[in-house]
Parts: sequence; C-alpha cells; structure tokens
Amino acid sequence: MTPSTLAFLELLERKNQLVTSLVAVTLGITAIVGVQTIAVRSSQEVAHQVDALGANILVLPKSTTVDNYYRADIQTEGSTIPEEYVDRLLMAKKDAGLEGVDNLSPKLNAKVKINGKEFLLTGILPKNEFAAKAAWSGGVFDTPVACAPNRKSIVSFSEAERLRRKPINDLGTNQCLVGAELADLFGLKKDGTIPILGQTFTIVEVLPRTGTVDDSRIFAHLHTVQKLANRDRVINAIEIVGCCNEISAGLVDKLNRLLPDAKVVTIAQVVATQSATNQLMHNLTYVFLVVIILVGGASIANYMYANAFERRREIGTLMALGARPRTVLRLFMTKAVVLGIAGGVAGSVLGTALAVVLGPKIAKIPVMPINWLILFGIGLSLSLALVASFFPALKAAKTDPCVAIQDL
Amino acid sequence: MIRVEKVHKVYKHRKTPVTGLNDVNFTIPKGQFVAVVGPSGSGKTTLLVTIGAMLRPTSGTVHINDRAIYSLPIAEMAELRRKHIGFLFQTFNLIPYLTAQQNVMAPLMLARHPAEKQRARAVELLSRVGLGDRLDHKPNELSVGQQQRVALARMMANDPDLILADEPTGNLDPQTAEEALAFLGSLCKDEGKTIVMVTHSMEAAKKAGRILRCTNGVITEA
Repeated sequence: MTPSTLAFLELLERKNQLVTSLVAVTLGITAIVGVQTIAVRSSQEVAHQVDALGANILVLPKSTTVDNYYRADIQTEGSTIPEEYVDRLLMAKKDAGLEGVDNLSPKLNAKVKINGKEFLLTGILPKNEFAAKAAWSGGVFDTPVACAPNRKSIVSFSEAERLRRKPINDLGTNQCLVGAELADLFGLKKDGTIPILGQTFTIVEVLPRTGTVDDSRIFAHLHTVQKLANRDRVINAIEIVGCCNEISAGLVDKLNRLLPDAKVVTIAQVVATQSATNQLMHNLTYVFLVVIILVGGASIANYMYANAFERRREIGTLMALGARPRTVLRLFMTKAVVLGIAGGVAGSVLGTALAVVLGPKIAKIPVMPINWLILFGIGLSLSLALVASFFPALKAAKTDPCVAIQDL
Repeated sequence: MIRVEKVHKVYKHRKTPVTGLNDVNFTIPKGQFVAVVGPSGSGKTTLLVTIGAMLRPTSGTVHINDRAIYSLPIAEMAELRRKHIGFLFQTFNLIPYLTAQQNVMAPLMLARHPAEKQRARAVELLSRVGLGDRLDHKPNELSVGQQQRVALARMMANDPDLILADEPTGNLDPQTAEEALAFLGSLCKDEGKTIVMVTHSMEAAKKAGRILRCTNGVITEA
C-alpha cells in the first residue's frame, strides 16, 4: 500500500462527496470547452467565408478610387502601377515573412471591340486569379483559404490542385476565358475561338454566370494583354486575399510601407464586422473562463476543507503512527489530481460532444472536435483542482495530531 | 528509556490558562510496565501524548533514549513515532474505510516497507491476535473486541520499543479487557517492550509493575 493507494481508497469510500465535486468541475469544463469549440470553429468559418468572398485588400494606383473599382473596375488610361509590385509582395512574403497575404491577383484592363460592341479584356496571371475568384469554384477552380487551414474542401486537395493547375498551366498566351453573358451573346463555346485586337484566342472555358461585370469580361494572359494594349509591365490593380486577423493586426500598414507609391485599401466594413464578431465570441469565452475558475475553484476548495475537517481524527491517527506532514499533503493532492483529471476528461469530452451536436443548431456551422482544446480542458481542470486544493491540504498537513485525536 | 524533567503544560481555554501538567519529573527504565492512574481530566492523556512526541510542553524536556524529542525537527519526530513508539487508543482510531489488514499495513506503509512485506507482516500480526480469518473485514464489520485486537496488531506493526496505551480497556468487556492486558503484559515480559498505560481502573493498573498517580497535572508514585 502507498499513500496514493490510501487516497484512492478514501475516494471510493466517500463517493457522494466526490461525485458532487466532480459534477461541478465537469460542468465547468464542459461549458468552457463547448463554448470555445464553437467560438473557434465559428472564427474559422467566418474567416473562410471572408476569404471565399474573394479579395479583401486592393492595391490601386493613387489616382484610382475604390468606388471606381467596385462600380466597373474600369481604369482610366495612365492609372497604372508597375507589375514589379507583385514581385515586391512575393519577395516580402518569402524573405520578410509577411503574414496574412495570399492569392495575389494582378490585373490589367483594356477596352476592346468585338463585333462592334465594347467589352473589357482583363489580363491576369492565371494561377492567382483562379484562386481568388470564389464565384467560379465548383466548376473549374477551387478556392484556397488564407485563414482557415483546417477547412476541408469537398474535393480532395490533390484533385483540386489538379483542376487548378490545368488552366494555370494551359492558359497560354493565345488562350482566354469568357464570361457567360458574352458567350451567350456570340454563341461562344469551350474550344472555340475569338479574335481580339488582331489576335485569335482559343476559349479554354466559359465561366459560370456570376451576376457581376465578369459575365461580360474576357480574361487572357496578363502579358498578352500588356502587349496587345501597348502597356508593357504595368497593371491596374492587385487583388489580395488577406487574412482577417492579420488585417486587424496591421497588414494594411505593412503593405503601405512596402508600396508607398500605391494605394492599399481594405473592404473595411466586412473585415471590421467579422473581426468584431469573432472578438465578441472570444471575449464571452474569457468571461466564462473567469466565472468557472472562481466557482469551480471555490467548490473544490470547499470540498477539500470539508474533507480535511471530517478526516481530522484519521489524520491525527496517521500522524501518531508516524506520518510526515508531507505524506498528509500528498494524500490530499492525490485526490486533487484524480478529481482534476477525471473532471477534465469528462468535461472536455462532454463539452466537445455538445459543441458538435449543438454547434450547427446554434451557430449554423459544422463543428468538429478540436484536439488542443480537449487537452486544454484537462489541463485547466487539473490546474484548478491542484491550486484550489493546496491550501486545504496544507492546513490538513499542519493538523496538531494531539488535538485531532482528543477532539472526539 | 524515558526521562521527563520539569515538564509543564498550560492550555489556553478562552484566554484562561488551564494547567495540564505541573512540574512533572520521572524516569521510566527500559522494559518497565507503568500504569498512570487518575480521575478524568487529571492530565493522564496529556502526559501520554507529551511522552509520545505529539504535544510540545510549555516548558521542560522529554528524553527518549537520551534524545530530547522536542528539539528534533518535525520530520524526525515523525520518524521517532514511526520506528520507536506504538500508540493504542481508547477508541481504537481505526481508519474506517480500510480493512483489518490494510489498517495494520498503514504504519508499515508510512515506514516505506515494500508492499509484499507490508502484507506478510499484517497477516502475521493479525493471525497472532486471532484475526487471521478477518483480514478483509472493515472496522464496522468487526466486534469491539476484534477492533481492539486490530488496533493491537497495528500498534505492533513496526515493532516499537515503547508502547503508549490510552485507556486500552475502557471500551471492552471484562474478559476482553483481561485478554488485552495479558497481551500487553506479555509484550513487556517476553519482548522487553516499555509500556506506559493510562487508565482510571485500579484493577487494570495492578497488572503493571509500577503505578504513577496523576492528580491535577501532578505526578506522584502510588
């Protein structure tokens, strides 16, 4: 027999008291893990949705307004920035660890006439453009995310990557993508051809209808458009999918410093709203945490004090038999460990299960277990039990054995 | 073996001093069976726990084997109790959620003996006191006499030199009391244990080789 055995035997003997404290700890951890699981998944979902909306940061020439960009994305002549800015951003991401920037999409627009009608020819670097355009997902492209790395796409990564790479690799200098409205107007189909500014382009894909100006747009390789429009090595805008958290953390300022001669703007409202929502949920979790630590800690401390008082005669007997004060301390701290681990495991599992079941109903999002949160719940419970039990255990260890024996 | 010199013990009862022991001086040589008699509240138990390194006197010294026990660190006092002193309480003080065997194993556990030795020693002692067939009974499943025997076995677990018994027959019927006293007597006579027994019964006291009388905290030879 060891002091730990003695502690376990005592735990099993006084089950009612143990169950009461265990329930208190379990419920507390359940609440924390459950709410935090939903909050974390919600944050990830929100971030994913923002990312999925497409670019939320724009790099524009200083003379161009955001309003112009949103209304028609039609740039006036001369309102350009060097294509070199893309390289600068990529180098900053690679060398300086610029966080939160993904899916750079440089664009150059030129007005073209087809059969007497004016359309917009937009030069893109295929890989980035495809990845940034969520409206086209499901058909040809998939959308990588900047801020929700745990998001599982419907198509497996390798297959999505294959689909994405096919048009990137295959969009040659004389290939193009056409919007749905334009295709309908001229009866254009995939693998057909269309002459633009004296060059014949092969249609790689007809884009799905989006209800935006893109339906009347032709997308071709950036460098081909630059050549046809006699606008070498310049672009009108860089669309960036930025991570909401990084935007909040000052990403825009960093980009402004990197590109002082350009204008860097965000879809401020959307970003701010989503960030505020995420922050509110996290703040609520912290409030829960504080309340549960106080209530749970008080409950455990009360249980331990009561237990030490109830067992004072036993403690006095053990001391009369030669128990050291630290042996008595160990008896109580062993109980605390058992209580903490049992409550933590039960609470974490129950909280996670409730989050998985109730998350879709409450937050309208799918919720999967979060392993680190389960471990956090167990760790929190154990720490709480140990801290709350320490002073009662210390008091028990300092029991005057004589008084304890004579008390009854 | 035991030397008590000028020991005073004063309690504070709601700020009023209460004398427990008053200038106590005596010596008990090794292997002697001493009974301390006196009425309730006379200070007998106070004397016993003072000798047992469990109650620091207000003044004076207590020596066991020429060691001043109250100048020892707390851990060494605990070790002294563990290795050299066996307590026998009036109300037995068995741990209620442990079996008879586990109760006897408790002092062996505190002395950090390996589990196998704990079990073997417990079985040996319980068999010696006639409870070899009650090893897995808890105290509430034993009679008073049987509980007393478990307490005796536990007291012997670490083979102490000094046995301190506080009213060991107080809760027993006459026959069981007689058996308990005989057992204590044999420990003294056959194994050379030093025994200090507190009792209010002169009948029980006569089983000892020496009687000390305790009256209002003062010890005198009877």
